[in-house]
Amino acid sequence: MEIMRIVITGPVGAGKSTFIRTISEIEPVDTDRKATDEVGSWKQKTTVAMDFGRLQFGPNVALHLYGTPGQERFDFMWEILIRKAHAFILLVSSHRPQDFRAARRILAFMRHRAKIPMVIGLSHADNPNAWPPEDIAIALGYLSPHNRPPMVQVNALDQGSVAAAMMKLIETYAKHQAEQLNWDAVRH
Amino acid sequence: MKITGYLSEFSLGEIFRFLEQGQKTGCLSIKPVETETLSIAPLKHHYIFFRLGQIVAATHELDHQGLQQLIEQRGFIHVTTIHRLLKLYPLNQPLGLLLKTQGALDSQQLQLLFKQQVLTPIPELFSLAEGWFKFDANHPLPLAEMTGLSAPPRDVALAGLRLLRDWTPLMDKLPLPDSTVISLSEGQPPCHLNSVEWRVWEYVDKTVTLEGIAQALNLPVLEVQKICFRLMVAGLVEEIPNISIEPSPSSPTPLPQPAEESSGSLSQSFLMGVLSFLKPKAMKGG
Repeated sequence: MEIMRIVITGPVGAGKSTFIRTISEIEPVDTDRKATDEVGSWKQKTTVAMDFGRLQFGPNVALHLYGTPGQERFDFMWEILIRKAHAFILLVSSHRPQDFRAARRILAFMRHRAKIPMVIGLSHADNPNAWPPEDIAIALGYLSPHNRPPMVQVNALDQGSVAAAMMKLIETYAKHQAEQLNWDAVRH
Repeated sequence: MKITGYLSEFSLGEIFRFLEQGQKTGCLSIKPVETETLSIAPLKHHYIFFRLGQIVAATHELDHQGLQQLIEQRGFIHVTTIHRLLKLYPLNQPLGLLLKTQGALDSQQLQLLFKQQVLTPIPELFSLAEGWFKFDANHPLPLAEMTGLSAPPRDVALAGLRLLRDWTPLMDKLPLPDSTVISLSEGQPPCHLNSVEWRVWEYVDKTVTLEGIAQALNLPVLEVQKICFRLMVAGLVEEIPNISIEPSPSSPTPLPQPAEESSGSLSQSFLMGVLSFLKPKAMKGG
């Protein structure tokens, strides 16, 4: 069985659970619970463990999607998820600048622990208060437009939009893998 | 391009870092929001002007009179004299530079004016409990309010945060005690640090947590968190969160865990297959 494991991460309320629910062909394993901290004041439930979704596109080939816990606590669950992941999508709400700090923290955590390809998915990009993608990139610490991961707009409720984001991630992974193979060939 | 929000959500230090790193030009306006704390003085609007990420002027009004009044208050030149000069020479450069070129002001006087206009009042803004901010990149630069001098927002933010007494609004933005910090610049920091910031800087990149730094330097952890926040706002370091060893407060449902096989390379046929599988879904939705 060949499986690609993709982690869907991002701050609370970025749409991780919805993203997985929208594209998964199985009923996602939902671990939403009543939020126990300040999150509870605006989002009644949040993911305490992780979400899981699956897309099987052949007898022995599948995509597995893992959503990180919603509340910002980097515990053993993150370690398990990252260790096995091939790539990840960071979901960020374009209209919530207060989330950029948490997104930046997640990025630093992921970069430090796993050198895997990634895509930034911008949700709520049509909101009147949404920041432009260029500015979100700067707020996340990507100062040069030539040295930043691909950024795509995502509507987590729309299957086409989610599928397009997934395609972007897989293309990014394929490119990264080809570069790695070329690099290995040069070294040997 | 307009960017708006509340300072409680995106702090002034973070805004400054964003504007400096993005090399933004425009006007940042800040409207203080009344809070429960007693304030005898009326809350004034603040306008801070940026040119390519550097602070070039600050005012309370958009009437282009601030710098002229400041010059008169200092006893350097009467406003009427400035008006006469402006009839002779068009204002196609910062007013301060124009007056210097005409021999009406010298460099030292310009520096004093810039300090009074920018370097003294802006750091006090960091003490605002709450405020509504808006950055307007289309706002023209007010030459009449500009001395011709500029200051890096990083330095102004550091000065402001060093003065801050009440950190309550920033408590949820501080780096975590079990995080480490890594340097974002090579070699020495590109700005002046005070002695205690230097002592913390010595531990950057050494995989020591903030708690560990506090122990080593015999400082309260909160103090080290505040110092690291200042260094983060100055764009000098980045926080790297660690895995928490504390168990989750809720007991999660047993879940499918990632399969045990390694995350090795995926075959070309797999990648082509998954792209072919997703393409119709993407097109259907688009």
